[in-house]
Amino acid sequence: MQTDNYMSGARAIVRALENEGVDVIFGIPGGATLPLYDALKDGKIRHILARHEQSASHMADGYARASGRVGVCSATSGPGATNLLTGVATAYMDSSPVVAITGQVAKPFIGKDAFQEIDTVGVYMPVVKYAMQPLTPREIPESIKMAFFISSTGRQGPVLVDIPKDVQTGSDEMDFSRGTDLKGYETTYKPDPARVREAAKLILQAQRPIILVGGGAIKANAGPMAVELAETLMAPIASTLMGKGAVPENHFLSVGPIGMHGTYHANRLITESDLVIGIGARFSDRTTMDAGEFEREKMIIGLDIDPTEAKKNLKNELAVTGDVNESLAMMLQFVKSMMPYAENSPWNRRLKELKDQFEGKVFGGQAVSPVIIKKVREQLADHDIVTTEVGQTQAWAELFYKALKPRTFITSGGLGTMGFGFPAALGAKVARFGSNVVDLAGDGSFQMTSNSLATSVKEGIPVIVIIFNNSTLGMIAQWQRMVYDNRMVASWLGESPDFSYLAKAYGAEGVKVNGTEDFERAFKEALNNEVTTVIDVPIPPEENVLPFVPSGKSLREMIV
Amino acid sequence: MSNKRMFFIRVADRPGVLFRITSVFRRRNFNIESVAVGKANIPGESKIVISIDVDEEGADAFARLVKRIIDVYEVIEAPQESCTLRELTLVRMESNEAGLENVCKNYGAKLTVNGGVYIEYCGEPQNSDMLLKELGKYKIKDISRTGVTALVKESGKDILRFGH
Ligand SMILES: Cc1ncc(C[n+]2csc(CCOP(=O)(O)OP(=O)(O)O)c2C)c(N)n1
Repeated sequence: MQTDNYMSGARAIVRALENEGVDVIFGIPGGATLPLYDALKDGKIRHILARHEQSASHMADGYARASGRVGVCSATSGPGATNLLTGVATAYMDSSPVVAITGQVAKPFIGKDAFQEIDTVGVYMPVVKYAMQPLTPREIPESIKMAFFISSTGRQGPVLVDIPKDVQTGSDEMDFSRGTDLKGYETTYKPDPARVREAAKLILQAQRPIILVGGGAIKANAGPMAVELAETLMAPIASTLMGKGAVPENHFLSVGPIGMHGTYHANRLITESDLVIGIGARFSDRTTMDAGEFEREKMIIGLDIDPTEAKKNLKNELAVTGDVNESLAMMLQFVKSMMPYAENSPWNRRLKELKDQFEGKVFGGQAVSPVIIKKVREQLADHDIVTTEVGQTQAWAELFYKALKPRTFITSGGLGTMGFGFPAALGAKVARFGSNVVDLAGDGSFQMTSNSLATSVKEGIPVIVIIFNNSTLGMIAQWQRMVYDNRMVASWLGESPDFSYLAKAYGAEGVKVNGTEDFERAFKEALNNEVTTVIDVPIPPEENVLPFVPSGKSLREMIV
Repeated sequence: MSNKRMFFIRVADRPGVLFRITSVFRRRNFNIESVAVGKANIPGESKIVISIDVDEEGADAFARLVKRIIDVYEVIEAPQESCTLRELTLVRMESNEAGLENVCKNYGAKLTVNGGVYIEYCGEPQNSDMLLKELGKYKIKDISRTGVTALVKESGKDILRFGH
């Protein structure tokens, strides 16, 4: 007898997604996903049509980063899957929960170089947390369930489900209640109390402790506890690029990000510190710069959910593996029972001194970009969201945009993917429709995914794109000026198409502004627009983002 | 001192597991010396035994990275001195030359003459190496080695265990 649970694999995908609470999929259909799309027609899930699969995966990623929920994207086999890959890899590097569903050629064609066949699982394996290929319709409910579970638990990350066309079209009795068999998969590790006590001892011995929050602190919502620890120790709170917003950057102990484009005072303080307490930070090369110098004459405590992060990049690290909130709570207990109040310590005076002198300081003379970014901050509410592209604009935003809440500063930190910001902004807007979403874009980056303007207009997803238009691949030009002896090669974009017209051609709004006053007016107007608005802001091509620590140098060797 | 270490990896019997594991080593440009895969004593599980030249710190990092793979249940990592090692070697000779029989007898290898001349040897990999050197004095047609498989010794030292 056939029950209600007798259905095609394609329908089972949709049902399983609905069971996970999915309300939206970003994607582009193709031959190998036609059955899935046919089933979507009868389901409750909204499909948002991208114009390039890379943007579809960035949208899903932006949705995930803004909401904390799993973002879903989809593409057909072959070129669809390869286009989608960049966004999936971007999500992987920043531990963002994304489920990617790709169509595959029918099973009899797999391995035969059939039309639009690639080994999708093989290609994706190194950039996903897990990859699956259900080979019978019956496996679909469990595969989807596993994908969501794996993607959203432990150290989050993207999961691929590659589904052959005949598995979508075949029908069978489906079991949606079956659990998942994931015996080897540990989602949480209990922090070891002995280790936490050891860490607490280090804290008590330290004269100059500093807290470093990373992207993991946002995922675990560990900001409040990090602040409590900081206030107990009267220690400065720095962040990584990914950690921006974990702790409100206007807190009196916050010093902003460290790293290649960290603030002057944060880089100085972490260099002078004798103990770094990392919370969900992976001590990447862009954060620590020269790792040996970074940890010289200091100890590092690393709280992380992922045991493979322990001592990965630093030798003097005492790693505490586990949910960072749990580790922090335990640590606070130890510290509070033993800690003398440290408000007037020399370290705290040093913090105040550096902060008073350097907070918000623009190095290297006049620059337009920081002024624009500060004006954006003034106009936006705390919960509004900023995304960035990659390049100088991203670095300016890292330095001058104060993120006040978690999940309000969205950027491609690990992979540094140009073209990420705009589609990610659209995904973020879908997730948090009540918030304004602004993409801070370079003219080079924007041109990588500007065709998402079509999606934004057709699907009614209004965001604001601010183009810092310097007619160059600015960050490349900066390196060529500062590191390659002024030998300028292939970094001059020249006159781009008029972005205001480009926006209008898509049915969006576009304005070109003169100067910062004009910008303020245009931005206020854009906040009231009901369509996406592109604001084209001319920026002098020779602006350098400072401070800047070139690769291979240490944080004490900032160029200012 | 040799830096050769053994990884014992208990995994779910799913497609792609071996690929995922070897990718961890390939990504950091480490050459795996040998891999042996076989069913374990628990249904649905396989055991992968890998031999690799790596220092203790590197081995620790690899063990963690391998454990992070979702299909991996447990990773045990040990220096070769802490393991009992065995490898099977099969050799086909041109002909049953005089002296071959003696070499085999010395090593405890089995010589079969049946539609061809075959030598079969099971022992520690160094002994296989020595035997093959001896056999090199005769005319060898073909060699196949299984790669080393192993068990941790009860008395073994410096054994790291991840997972359950
Ligand atoms: C997809 C991709 N290709 C190339 C790069 C290398 N890259 C880093 S920054 C940069 C220039 C970015 O130019 P633009 O978007 O105009 O921003 P600006 O630096 O001028 O602010 C390039 C090409 C990259 N990060 N991503």
